[in-house]
Amino acid sequence: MNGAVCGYGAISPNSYKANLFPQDSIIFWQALETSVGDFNDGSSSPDEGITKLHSLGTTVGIVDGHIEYMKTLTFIALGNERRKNRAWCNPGTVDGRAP
Amino acid sequence: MKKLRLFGLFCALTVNFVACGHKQDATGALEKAAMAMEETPVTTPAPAPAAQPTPAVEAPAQAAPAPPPAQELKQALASYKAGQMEDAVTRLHNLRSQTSMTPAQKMALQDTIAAVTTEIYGLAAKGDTRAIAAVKQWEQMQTNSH
Repeated sequence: MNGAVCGYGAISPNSYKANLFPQDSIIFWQALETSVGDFNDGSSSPDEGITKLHSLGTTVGIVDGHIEYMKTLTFIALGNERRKNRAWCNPGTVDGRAP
Repeated sequence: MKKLRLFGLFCALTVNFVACGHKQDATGALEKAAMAMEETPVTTPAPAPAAQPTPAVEAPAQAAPAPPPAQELKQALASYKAGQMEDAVTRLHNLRSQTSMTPAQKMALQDTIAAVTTEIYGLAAKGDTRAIAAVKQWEQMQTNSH
């Protein structure tokens, strides 16, 4: 789950309501299964990567309730951006990242 | 005879698949990623759009620019080879938050982190004190970063 839901820990154990997110925000994805160190808790930041079990892409869950297919490199490119986007979507910060 | 040839082909393919599916060791993964960082020029991070003001959280990063990814990865490799696992995981964690790499380079970095952490977690489970310290360091950084 995207840690943006709790502001990457900033408002934990509370969480932001769904209507505070842009409706195309990515909330769920399958973590990179080979990276054991990323399973320290139940949430991830977008720069932690995404599964490669499904070849070139996988499905991701969006805050409005739908799922969609996304290429692995597209997701990584989103995680590589320095501004708020579909993956970095923390409502509490300007750049969508951890405060 | 035809069946024998088919059997030989099957064996060759099996050996090939097994060889390709072999888990990469941490040092090899680090070396491979360091090469990938050097081969492809590092992209300059795109400036933020004018409509979005630069957030205050970026100010410290701009004040002290991060070292180039290739150099940082080489340092991580050297630290790992020297048994300084804490330093290696710290460098890898810092690298992951850098945005100056291409998506392909970032993917190579994530594979490297996966290989290194898998090896360190394995050593920690066997009671290696340096690995245990590195695991603690890694998890603390993970918790603080999100």
